Amino acid sequence: MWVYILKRFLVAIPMILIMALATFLLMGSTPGNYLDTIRMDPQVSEETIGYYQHLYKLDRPLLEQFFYWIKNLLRLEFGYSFHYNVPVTRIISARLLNTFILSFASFVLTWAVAIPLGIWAAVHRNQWIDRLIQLFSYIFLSLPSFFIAMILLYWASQTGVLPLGGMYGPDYDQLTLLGKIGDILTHLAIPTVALSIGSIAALQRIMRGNMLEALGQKYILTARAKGLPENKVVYHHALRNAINPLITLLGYEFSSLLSGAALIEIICSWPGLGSLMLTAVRSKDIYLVMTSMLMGGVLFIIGNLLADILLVKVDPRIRYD
Amino acid sequence: MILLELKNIKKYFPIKRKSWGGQGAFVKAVDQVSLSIYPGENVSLVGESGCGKTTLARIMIKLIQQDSGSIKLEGQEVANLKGSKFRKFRKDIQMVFQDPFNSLDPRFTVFHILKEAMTLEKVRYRHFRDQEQRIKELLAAVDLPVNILNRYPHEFSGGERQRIAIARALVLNPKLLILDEAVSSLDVLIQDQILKLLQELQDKFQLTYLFISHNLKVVRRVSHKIAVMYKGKIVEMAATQEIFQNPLHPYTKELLSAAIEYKSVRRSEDINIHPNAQLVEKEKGHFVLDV
Repeated sequence: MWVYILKRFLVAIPMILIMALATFLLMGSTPGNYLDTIRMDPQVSEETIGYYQHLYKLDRPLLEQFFYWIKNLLRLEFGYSFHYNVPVTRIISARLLNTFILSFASFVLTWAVAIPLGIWAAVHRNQWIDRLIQLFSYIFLSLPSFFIAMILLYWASQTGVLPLGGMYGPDYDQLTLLGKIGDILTHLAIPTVALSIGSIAALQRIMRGNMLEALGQKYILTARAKGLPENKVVYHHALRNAINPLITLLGYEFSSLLSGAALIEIICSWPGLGSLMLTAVRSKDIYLVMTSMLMGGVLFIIGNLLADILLVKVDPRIRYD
Repeated sequence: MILLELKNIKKYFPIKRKSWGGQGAFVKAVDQVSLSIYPGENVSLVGESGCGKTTLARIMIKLIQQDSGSIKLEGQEVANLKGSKFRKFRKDIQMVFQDPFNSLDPRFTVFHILKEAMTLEKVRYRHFRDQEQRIKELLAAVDLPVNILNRYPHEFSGGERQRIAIARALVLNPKLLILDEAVSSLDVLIQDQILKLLQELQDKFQLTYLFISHNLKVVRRVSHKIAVMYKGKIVEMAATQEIFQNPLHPYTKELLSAAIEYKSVRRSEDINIHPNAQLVEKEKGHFVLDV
């Protein structure tokens, strides 16, 4: 098992390098660089631009730039942001917690609602409650999340129940700790719901499908035939066999915890990483983009590995030697 | 005393939704079937696939609710039992399924499979050791080594799995064991072993078997009485030897000619069954559906 984990880490290194190279080349293959924006300002002289171009090695070939970045990476230097003119780590760390709060809230809400809902729907297959759940799933799967966010914001603006965006209220600094948490939670409500609702619909459908497949198996018939109570049949036999694909999905979810959700963040003016990265890509703030990509990639690989290890723990048929 | 008595069991499955005011279409899976099983007397239900034999078995253990008819276990009506009385009934009739590869939960060790079956037993084991002792006895009874308790179903061969399934069914000391095509997915040598095992177990635990099968050779070896099912009805029922030597119903004759060398005329058209046909005793203990 430990050998297997070690192998997975060794395989991860070239994977991350290839991922980084691909991103770097994609960023570099489009014309222009960050300095072009500055160049349009007549007050900035050619010499200054040339100085920065040399400083950031933007006058060098793309591959050389890449290897220079890798070299610095090995010394744990992630580079400077052109736009903010500070190390990218400082910008990212400032927004990391915000993004994590939103993603984690959405993650918890999604799984806590979708899994029981899927089981419930499968157990009551084709009864009215199942049909109702499936109808709403289709509706919420078809609606884009930003549209839901806008509807929620409109509702909030009409009723005034929830704040209209941002992360903190104007009197945040004067609040007690409990008040601060409450304040963030009320601001969190709309973006979280908007982010989760489509995922709930999708995950619920996956759970329902897996559950139905498991419930159709012969060992379920055996369990019923020997007179096991129905709830034991569902939870001990069917659920345990239906959970595998969801564990894999859980691994994928892990990476999205820190990648941010640009659209929702922009609409709800949540100060997260998603909107930051969108601006960074558009303005070709290359090292900021690279670092975020690196973070997502590493988390993705770790998440997958965790899911695979978890699978061994829950399914005796899976073994890695 | 009759162990299990079925009277006029009927189960129709709807195949078309009822239109307004109209009559829906049905499959007559089990149509007015009566059958009595006496203690120690092995009965076989034979017939082509789709004739309703599995449905009938599932009605017996109440996996499916019959539309009408009565089920009596040792003289007591069980058709509408609930709660603790129902569990007592459940305990007395157990079933082994056809496919040993899918009928055991892949997530459960042998120990858990057997232990879970025990949770339905009234007697709680005082000590873990007693429970383990019982499990080991059962494994020994089905000729499996006792050191396999922590292994999972996928680590066994088909024959071994079927032994596990039989051990599981025996945990609660049932009186009637229904074997739904229990050997038909195994190869002939393993089939032979399992059939021998079943005969041993019958003497040891005072079991009665109900075999559901299309394999007449197997049926001939193990059963005392054979009931032939066709289109949801029992068309002929008699002692095993009597059926093999003197089949009276045209369907039985055809079934025999297909399975073993038996002179018979190939039928040119479907055998028609009159809706009101009744089983008639032609000779002593030999019932045939009146055509």
